[in-house]
Formats: sequence, C-alpha cells, structure tokens
Amino acid sequence: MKTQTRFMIPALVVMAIVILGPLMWGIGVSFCDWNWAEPNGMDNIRVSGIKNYIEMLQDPLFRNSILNTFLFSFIALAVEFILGMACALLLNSIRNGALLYRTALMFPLMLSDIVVALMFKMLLNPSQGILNRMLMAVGMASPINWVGDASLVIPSLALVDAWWQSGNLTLIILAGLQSIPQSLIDMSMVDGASAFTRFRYIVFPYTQPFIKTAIVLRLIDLMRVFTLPWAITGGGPGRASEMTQVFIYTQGMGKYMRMGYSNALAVTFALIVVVVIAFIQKCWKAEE
Amino acid sequence: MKKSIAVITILLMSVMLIFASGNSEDQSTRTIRVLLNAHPWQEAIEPLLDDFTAQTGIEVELTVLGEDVYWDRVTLGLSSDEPPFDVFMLSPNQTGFVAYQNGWIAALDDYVGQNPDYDFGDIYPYVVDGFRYPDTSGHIYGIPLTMEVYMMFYRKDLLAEQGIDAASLKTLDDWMEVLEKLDQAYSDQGISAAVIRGQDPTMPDELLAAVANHWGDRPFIPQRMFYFDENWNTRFTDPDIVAGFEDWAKILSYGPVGSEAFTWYDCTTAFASGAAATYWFDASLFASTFEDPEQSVIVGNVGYLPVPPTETGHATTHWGWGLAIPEKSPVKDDAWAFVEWATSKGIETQTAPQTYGPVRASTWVEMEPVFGEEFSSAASEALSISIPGYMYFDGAREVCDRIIDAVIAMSKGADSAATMETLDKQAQEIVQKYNLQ
Repeated sequence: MKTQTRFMIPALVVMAIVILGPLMWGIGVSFCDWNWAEPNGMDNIRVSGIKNYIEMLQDPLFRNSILNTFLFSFIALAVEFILGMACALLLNSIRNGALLYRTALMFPLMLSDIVVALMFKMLLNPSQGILNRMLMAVGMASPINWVGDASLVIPSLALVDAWWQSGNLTLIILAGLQSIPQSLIDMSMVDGASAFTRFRYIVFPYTQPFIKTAIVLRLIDLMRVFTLPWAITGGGPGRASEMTQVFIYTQGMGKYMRMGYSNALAVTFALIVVVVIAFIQKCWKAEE
Repeated sequence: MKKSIAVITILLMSVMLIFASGNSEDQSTRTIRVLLNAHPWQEAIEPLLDDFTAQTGIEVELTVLGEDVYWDRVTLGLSSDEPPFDVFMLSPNQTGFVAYQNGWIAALDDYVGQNPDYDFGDIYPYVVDGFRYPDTSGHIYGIPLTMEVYMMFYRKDLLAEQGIDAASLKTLDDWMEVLEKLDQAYSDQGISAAVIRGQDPTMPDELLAAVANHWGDRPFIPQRMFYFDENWNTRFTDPDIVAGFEDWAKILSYGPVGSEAFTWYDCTTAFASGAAATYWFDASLFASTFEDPEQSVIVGNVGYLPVPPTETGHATTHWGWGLAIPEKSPVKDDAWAFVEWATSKGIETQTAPQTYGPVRASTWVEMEPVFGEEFSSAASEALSISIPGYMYFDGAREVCDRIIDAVIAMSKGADSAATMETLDKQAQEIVQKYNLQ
C-alpha cells in the first residue's frame, strides 16, 4: 500500500462512520415500519418493503411541500441573484470605503438562521410588527398580512431569505469580478464600449463560472430550507408554506414519530435535489 | 532528558489533580436538571428555587423553553439513553401518551404516599386522572401543578360603551350578534371584535371546548373525544362537531389581521394590550396576565364568563400541566424531592396568584380573595360544566393537524360542509394507516 493511501485511511474510516453509516442506515430504515408512537415502538422495527414509497407517491401533502419548496427556491434565487449581482457590481466599482460597505452587506450572513427567523417573525407580524406600522405611518391604508395570506406567505419568506443570504452571491460574484484583468476593461473603454456592452461581452462571460457555482450552492441550500418556515409560519396558513424539510421533520421526530416514512421522504427528496442540480448542470453543458 | 521527564510528570500530576477535584465536587454536590415550558407557573416558581436548594441541598439547573420548541426538546430528550433533564413539565397530551407507551416516564404512585404532610388527596382527583396512563385506572405519571378551564374574557368598558349588558347575553348566538356590533364599532380603531387561537399546534385542545358546547349529553370515548366512535368510525360530519368548528372559524374571522397564525401567546398579548374586545375558549390562567399591571393595559376592565350555551348543549373542557420524571433519570429520588416541593401546599399558595389555576382544593378556598369574586365565580361555573379535554391515541397528532387545516380553511371562507367531509375522509385514512380499527 502506498504511503499516501495509508494516510487517507483514518479520514476514510471517520467518513464511513459519520457519513456512510448513517446514510445506509437511513436508506435501510426507509424500507421499514418504525413508529415510535406505537407501544415500545422504538424497539419494534419491521421490514415493509416499498410500502413507505407507495404511500409517499399517494401523499398530496408531500407533493404540496415539494411545490412550495420549488416556488420558494425559485423566487428566493431570482431575488438573491439580482441583489447579489447588483451589490457585487457596486462594490467592485467603489474605491473609497469599500471595506465598510462590504462588511455592511455581509452582516446578515453572520446571523444564525433561527435568529433571522425569530427577528422576522416579529417584524412581519401583521398587527403588531414594525414593518406594517412603518408602512401605515407613511400612508398605507390597511396592514399587509405578510405571513397569514396564502398567496403572500412564500414570497414573504423568500424575501426574508434574500435579505439574509444575498451576501453569499455578492461574495462569490465579487471574486469573479475581481478576477477580470483591468487591462481588458481599460481597452474596452478606450474602444468606446458602453457600460452595457462591457457587461455583456467582458464582465458576464468572465464571471459566468462564478455565477454558476453560486447558483448551484444557493439552490441546494434553498431547497433544504427548514428554519424560516418552521419558525416564522409553522408551515401555515394551512399548508401554504409547508416546505419539504418541515414536512419530513413533522412525519418523523418532529411530531408523528413515523421514522420509516420520514426516511423514505428524506431519501426521495435528496434524490430530487440531486436530479435538479444535475439537470441544471446538463443544460449549462449543452449551452457550452 | 531529565527536564522533559520533570515537565511530563508535572503535567500528569496537574491532570490527575483536575480529575480528582472534579470527582470530589461530584460527590459533594447533588444537582437535578429541570426543564420547564415558558408559563406563568414557571415565572412564579423560578424565584423560589433557592428555597428548595436551601431546604434540601439539591442544586437546580433550570432550562426554560418557549412552547414552540418545548415539545420537540422533551421528545428528543426522553427518547435518548441519557435524558438531559430529571424533571420536566408534562401535559396529558399525545407526547405524554407516546412517552408512556415507550416507557420513557416514571410511574410516581409509590412516591405520592410517602409523606403524609404532602397531602396528595388535596389535589383534585379528576385532575390527577389526566396524568394516569393508559386511562384513568392506570398509574400516575405526572403530578398536576396547574389546571386551566376554557372560558371567555371580554372588555367590560367596551361593552358598556356600546350599551351592551353582558348579563343579558344568554346564548352563544347572542354573543355572535355582539361580535358583529363590536366589529363595526371598533375595527377602524385597531381593536378587533374577538381573538382566538389560530394555527397553534395546541388549538385542537381548546377546540374540544367549542365542540363540547354543542355535544350535549351524548356519550363519547374520553381518549378519542367526540371524533371517533367505539369502532373508530369518524364523526367529523356530525352536526354538533361541524357547529363547534363553525363557531371557532367564525370567531377567528373577527380576529386581528394575521390572527389565523396566532398562538396563545399572540392572543393573550393582543387582548392584554387592548387590541381585542373579547377572547374566546381559552385558559382561565390567563386572568393572571390580564390583571397584572405590568403585562396588561386592561386591568380592572376584564369580565369573565363560562362559555355561553348553544341550542344543543353547554359544556367546556379543562386541561392541566404537571411535573414528570424520565424513567432513565439517574437521580429519581432527588427529582421526586423537587416535584414534591414544587407541588406542595405551601408552594402552590405562592404560585397560585400568578397561575389562577391551582390544583389543590385548599388553595382555591384560600385564594378566593386574591382571584376576585367575578373570576372565581366564572371559573367555578366553568368547572362545573367541564369535562377533561385530553385526546390521545396513535395518529392523534396527525388528526389534530388536519383539524387545524380545516378550521383555517373555514375561517378563510371555505364551505364548512365540504371541508368537514374532506376532514372526515382524511381521518378515515389515518385510522387505516395506524391500524386503529
């Protein structure tokens, strides 16, 4: 055995114990009935084949949670991309005080998810939240039911996520912008290229790999959203903001204790995320 | 070389000293870990914990959590091999039932009779029965510490302003007409006609009171309440159940903007801050908040009533919190010492002014001057028409979530007959899924 390989063994063993083991266990449990809410349910695990997966396919609430998650992810990603790009371009062009602005824009990233969620739960409270009070102070006629109206709740949550996470995209795109050779920009300016032309033919192509990386990372993160809907709306009103991770948690440890079913949902959702990301990357490759 | 050996020896000795001092500390200090839900009782007991330590020499490590995360933490803790708490607040709900079924909580029958001064018989037996599993003939798994009966609260000043005499309102229908009048009079001023729990995981417990108020004298199976018969046939299309749900949804529609998401905390905050004229089907213990000048702007203006009767019945439900001990706690005797102290007569007389819901008969007598005649009379009348509102069986939580979906949909204008029909079908599916029949 090569020396390099021997050095890898401890890391591989640790990974097998903390990642591969639980993963295989989770997949195995997804083919079992394991309901902790039954008498002595924790000790009573029975193989049930694909029963959980059949139930999942017939479960309208699971489908609802996936649609909610996709809608949330799409809106949040679009807003975050626009904000992230705009902020990165602005930061790249600022010469004085760039560090101050950059720190200010990155500040929300330093907050933990539960802090953001509880903060916005208070801010968005329709009757007592400061956001509606401020809007009404400047002339809005009646309070907006940000998280109590089924048609508004997902956009509201997406905006919260955008406030919190746009800095992520800003950071990555800014790194891309700073990798563009200054000589290229200077030459284009000498040639009389407009700002839009420079963006289209120099900035965008140079930053594209960074943008793609950022989009993939954010999309994975967005699709596994949990804390914001769990803490701000509890999935409501009704099921209007119930995201897949919240639904999975509710079926398992969070409420119903149906560990087998919960694992089947988790395995399936992980596959869905992989398929979505693979599809996007395939589309990008086809474009190239 | 000699230097290195000396350094290593000193380091080793330091490590041994640290471990030795740690051990001696463990032997001399007795500590219990107490997990409490944020609650008026918790606020009342917290300043008294030093007295317990002074009396017993047992230190208390206290953790307080909001109810939105409390149950998750309890379930996670109880299911582990080493629960991170030795005493915790339990209610007679599905969490307790799951804990009982899995052997996660300790039976306390042997403890309650050990000390005659404790006078366990002074605690209302029907409240104790709520903590017996699997039914009222089973062992005791929790010692009650507060009791709450679901009643209604209203603003006396606003009703007087509108020339409405609460005593003349005899039925729920009379009150519904008043809500319409209050809505027209005050909604422009930021005061809603009513407030009631919305998408709160605990809402189905209180909703039982609204359904009980229509159910009349018809029999039902306690753990299944009104929703399932002896053969697990569903009853969500029963006219009395539909009427109870409709009452709730209608009152919810009179609530402040966003009230469909209100928890009990949001409701009490809205009522105590003067943002609602009436507060429906909720716990008697909230009177302590409404009469506390530090938490309420409506002190002295709150009227208390049992829920008004309907054409088919007049009833409400009650509920309670207790203290329980995990079966796997390594310090069960010390944990019991805490439970016995915290639920003793002497302590309850100190916590009752904040909970308005003592569980000992002697404390109710002693506290009447503190609670006031109007509250005591309303609570007493409510208790006289009250039944335990505890629903637990495999799948109960799933049923409760579907119940919440139905009420929220109805409050948003969905047709009640169709909504209840859907709920009934969903409940049938849950019965099949959990093999209850």
